[in-house]
Amino acid sequence: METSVPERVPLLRAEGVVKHFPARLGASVKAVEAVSLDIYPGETVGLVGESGCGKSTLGRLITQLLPVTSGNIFFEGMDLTKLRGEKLRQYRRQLQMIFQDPYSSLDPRMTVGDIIAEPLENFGLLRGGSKDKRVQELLKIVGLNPYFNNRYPHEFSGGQRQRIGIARALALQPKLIVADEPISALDVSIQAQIINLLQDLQKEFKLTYLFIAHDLSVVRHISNRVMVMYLGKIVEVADSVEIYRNPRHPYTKALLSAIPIPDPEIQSKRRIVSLKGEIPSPVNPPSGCRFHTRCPIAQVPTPCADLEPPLEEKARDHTAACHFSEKVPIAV
Amino acid sequence: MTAPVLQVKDLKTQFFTDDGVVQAVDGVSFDLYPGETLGIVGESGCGKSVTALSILRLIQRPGRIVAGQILFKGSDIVTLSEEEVREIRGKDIAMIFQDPLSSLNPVLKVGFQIEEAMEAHDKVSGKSALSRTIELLKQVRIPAAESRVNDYPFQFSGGMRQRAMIAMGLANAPSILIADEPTTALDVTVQAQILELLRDLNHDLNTSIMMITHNMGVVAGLCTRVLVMYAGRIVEQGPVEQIFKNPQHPYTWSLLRSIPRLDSDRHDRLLSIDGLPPDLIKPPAGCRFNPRCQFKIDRCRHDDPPLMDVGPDQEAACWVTMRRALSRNGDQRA
Repeated sequence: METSVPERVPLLRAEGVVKHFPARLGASVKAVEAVSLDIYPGETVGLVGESGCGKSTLGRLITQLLPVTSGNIFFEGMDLTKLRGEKLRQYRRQLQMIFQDPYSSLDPRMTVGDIIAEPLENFGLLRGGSKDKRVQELLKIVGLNPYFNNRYPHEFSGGQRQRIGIARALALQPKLIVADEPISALDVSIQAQIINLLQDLQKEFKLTYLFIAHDLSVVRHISNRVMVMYLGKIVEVADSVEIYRNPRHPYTKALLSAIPIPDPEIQSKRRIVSLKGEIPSPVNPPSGCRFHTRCPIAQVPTPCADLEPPLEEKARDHTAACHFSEKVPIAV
Repeated sequence: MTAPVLQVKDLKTQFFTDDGVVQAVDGVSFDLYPGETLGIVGESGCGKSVTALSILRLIQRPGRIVAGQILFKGSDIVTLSEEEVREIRGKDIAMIFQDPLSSLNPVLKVGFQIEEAMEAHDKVSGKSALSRTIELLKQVRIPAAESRVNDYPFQFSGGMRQRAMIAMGLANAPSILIADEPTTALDVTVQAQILELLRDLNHDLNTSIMMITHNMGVVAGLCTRVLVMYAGRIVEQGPVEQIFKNPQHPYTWSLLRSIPRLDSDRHDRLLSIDGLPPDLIKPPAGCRFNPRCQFKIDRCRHDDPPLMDVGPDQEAACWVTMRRALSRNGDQRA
């Protein structure tokens, strides 16, 4: 496994990234709070969490679709948050995004050929016949008929539209692709087609993925490493096999236990870790560990309600933010 | 064996659109037994929701039930008058939907809407309706039910709204609860809570549950029997343990291998089912799955397979499976 290679240089590094959105009465939604992470070349990092945890916002910060409130995002050593205008635009070529909803992320009035050609035109890369050739080549790469370039999005199924979105993301030959819930709007039999396509493309073009999803079983399947987010913070990072076998944060454990396994025999023997209450508001997150209000092993008030646990190494290549992480496998 | 509480016989529901007749449900038959949890799985457009809506006669124009019987308590729901159906709907057979926010009226208090469901079928005094409503909210585990009864839907979270919908469904102690993708819009931890609630209610009240879902994991955790639907037909049915361990229809088999499992340690390539589900205006000849089937034989292209016995209580509609089963038994027809 690659993780054993020493001193790898990350393709992307986020340091203390914060994103606050203004809310009513001068309050703010603390969507992402002091997140640091590394993404290495050629790997797939999965980012999971439930709705509202900040995972999509973090994806948009990384691709520079949203400006950070504070913190730094380094791509190949260059701090993107310091760049403006044309310089930033040139870096953006390297960072592309695939969106969840293949219905709303394609302009219904443009032909598929024009949709895929748009990034090429924006950067003035190819013109005329060579542009058309490249579009047809991209269609072929994602498994669509290259002569469909004159058709409109509505003539395609959901899975085919997602392929068009992938072709558009590939047009500029990016290094990092952030895929935000790319399969959750698709039918089960189509999901596997898209997952396999993403894996094939990664091999062929040496792509690096940040794969954002709520479904931990899909994320585990496609990722080398998995990051778990809760209420704007990363609470655990580990290898995708390790995180399932040996979770060190009680939230990860609860999330894992809640995912149904398609096997009645196994499913009947599993124990679900039920969480108390609901996800608190990100406008006014709980003090100390943000998870303490719902945690089955929290010790309140000290330390869980007044001391924020740092994201620190609990085992080799395995970090978690919990005061009692050693208890998680047994007590939760 | 006890008598079924509901029998669906050769149900055909079609939609008469400008583009042609959509054969959404095409000859579906099954029984539902008292206290049973029956799963209906399939992908969008396979006819699972239309089957459920047909049972409650909620099919709207341009759709229509064109053939078949739905037998409940000695009468055929298909031929009942609108008034008679209304007596059954919400009283004997209740239904909950995927999106609780759009199923609740935003300007009416949650408690009032549950009382309304009760009063539609029974004369209850205001006071006893309120206490019964609070009791129902407690039964679906809404905390501080006495005060939350006065909340509006927007004050409830997604999970609580679905609990309120379930409370409304249970208001008249129905014998059947049809749940159409009740957890699809919810987060996984909330989904787990709702499934646990449904399991307990099924156990405590002996209400039969028909669970309509695309999620094989949900079926594995809740149901005892399952129907697998594809392109308007049941392609396989049987006890849950058997279908998952020993699927006999190529569609069921492929579907189970196309989903990543949380408990698998290997990153094997997923099996993907090529192509798309067929257009139900012009479904393919023969077996409807044949254009996507990797096991098909010549017969599949022109001859439509019926559901055939393939194991104890297990049936599948597949010629290849049938031939294998016959040759195992040394039958000449194989």
